[in-house]
Amino acid sequence: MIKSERPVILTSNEVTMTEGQTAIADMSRLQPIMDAPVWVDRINFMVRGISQNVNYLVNMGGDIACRIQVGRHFLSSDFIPVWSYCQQTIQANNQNSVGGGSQASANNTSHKKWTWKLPKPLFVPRGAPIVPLWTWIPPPPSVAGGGTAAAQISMVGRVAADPTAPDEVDIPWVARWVGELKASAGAAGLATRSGENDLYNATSKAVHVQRLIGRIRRIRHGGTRIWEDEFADATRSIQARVYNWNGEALTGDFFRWSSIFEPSRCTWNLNYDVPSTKSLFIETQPFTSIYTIGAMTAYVSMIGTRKETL
Amino acid sequence: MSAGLPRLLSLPNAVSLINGQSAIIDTTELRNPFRSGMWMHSMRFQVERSTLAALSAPLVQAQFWLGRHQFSAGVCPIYTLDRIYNPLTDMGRNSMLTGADGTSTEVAFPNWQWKFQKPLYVPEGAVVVPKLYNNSGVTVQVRLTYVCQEAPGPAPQELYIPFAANFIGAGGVGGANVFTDISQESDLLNPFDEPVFVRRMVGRVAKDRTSDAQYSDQDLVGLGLKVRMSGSSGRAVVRDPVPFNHLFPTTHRQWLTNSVLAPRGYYVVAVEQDYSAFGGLSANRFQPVIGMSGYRKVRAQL
Repeated sequence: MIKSERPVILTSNEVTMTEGQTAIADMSRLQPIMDAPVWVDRINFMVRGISQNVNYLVNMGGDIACRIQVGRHFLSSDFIPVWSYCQQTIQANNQNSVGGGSQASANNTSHKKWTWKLPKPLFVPRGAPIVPLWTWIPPPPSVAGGGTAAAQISMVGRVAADPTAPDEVDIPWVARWVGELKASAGAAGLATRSGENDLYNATSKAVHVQRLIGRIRRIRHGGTRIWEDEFADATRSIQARVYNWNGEALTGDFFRWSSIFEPSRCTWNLNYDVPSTKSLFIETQPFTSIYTIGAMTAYVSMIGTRKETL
Repeated sequence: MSAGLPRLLSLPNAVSLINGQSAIIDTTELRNPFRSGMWMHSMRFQVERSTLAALSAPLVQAQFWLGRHQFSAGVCPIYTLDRIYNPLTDMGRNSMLTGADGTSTEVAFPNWQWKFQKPLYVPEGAVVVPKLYNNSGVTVQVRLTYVCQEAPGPAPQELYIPFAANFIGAGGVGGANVFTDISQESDLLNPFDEPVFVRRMVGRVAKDRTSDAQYSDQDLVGLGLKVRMSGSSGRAVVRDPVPFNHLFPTTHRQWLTNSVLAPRGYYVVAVEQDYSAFGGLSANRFQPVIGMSGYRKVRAQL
């Protein structure tokens, strides 16, 4: 007889933080206390501003970052901006938008939402804690006083029909690079390069990289005020190249950013193994942007899984 | 199990095409760079006009070959090769937003892609040759990128050649009364000797503002369009007139058919159009565009 799996959602409490601050969610809410382990298929992130600051109009998916731990395994070596976990979908609020969910949203109640469909379902043993640690990383250059933001996370999955733990489980691994492409209004576009510790496999196992996600932010700042442009992902003047730890090119040359990270999803599906302690690299070349009125920042993340024993 | 090294292959420069021009492109940069075969998973297109403020045209068309294998019998509009993956970026919709400084600076532009249902094996040294054709009414710049991956190991015995076909209706101007465009047997046709697996059909309605040749994908007039369809056996595929937007929903514009079209088989589509409710758009021309895409299986001999 085939046992059926039933759906389950584990939702954390909402934590609040100010700029630069770290917060941790109540672990008990994300602990599978069912009679069986849980397979997690998706992780949902929700972020909103709760104290209004009209001088701070930015997309909080790039600001609010999360680091997740499942049992003794970390899913990343550092905080990852929540939009860097998730490929873009058709949701309007998934956009790089200054609308609902921004710190200055009119009623401060609308959430900004992102969904991370895991590369492979994540096995969470019964009672094992899922720990999200949050922080608010202000975008460069920072303007202090962004107010207060709130964040929440949900695990969407199934209660396992078979309580037996597999010998090996697929644990996601996420690494990220945040690079300054253009420092300020009027400045030239920079040649910049990710470092060895950015798109890095810090685990002891090979990481099978499912995809790279690349996003661009354009932020203007004047005096004490900063605000962000919408739909910057396809900014045309930025060119980049990607190569691996041996210097082998993944792009033949410097290609337009949007040729690498296709703008409807902002992703490039790789299906490629990165060995332990190795990195992928991305490099941009100097550029002259007709966007002269603000700064530009690149967000690139590497999403994959590695095999671990529980 | 990891596949080989991922690799993007892209033309070094945009291909500039004046209206009515076709171009065979220098394919040096698109050639398989590996000392083995490679898998090709998808191709990406970017289309721009010389003026940033205007939307680019959908009627930029393409045709591809791998050796003697054609992907289609003729050129196909590139925006009917695949579904919409994100309505917010489709057609360069973002470019309608002005930049934060009040001008359209560094705005986005239309990006389309064609994800293959089955990866295409490109042998060592081979190249997928593109031919581009511009029927948009204005000069456009086209960028083309292939998403590939090294394929170490023996070559497969069979190749999955992507397939595409299309029908472009004559259409009419805003305010026009009821009329019907009917496709020819040679439009949505499988001209090959092998059956074609038709993954999807894609339906669009191009709106051409005749004053400045700005195009968009027009949802509104979908209300005035109805579709019927039959197969080469004479059987109805879409028996009763179905609203265009029901067959091709706005969010993705596709109908997943997952069907097999026999050699020399075809579909005939009739698009009933009624633009009488859109008299205020008399300066616009509307054209239904229906494409189908999938793949066919051939022996691995180029």
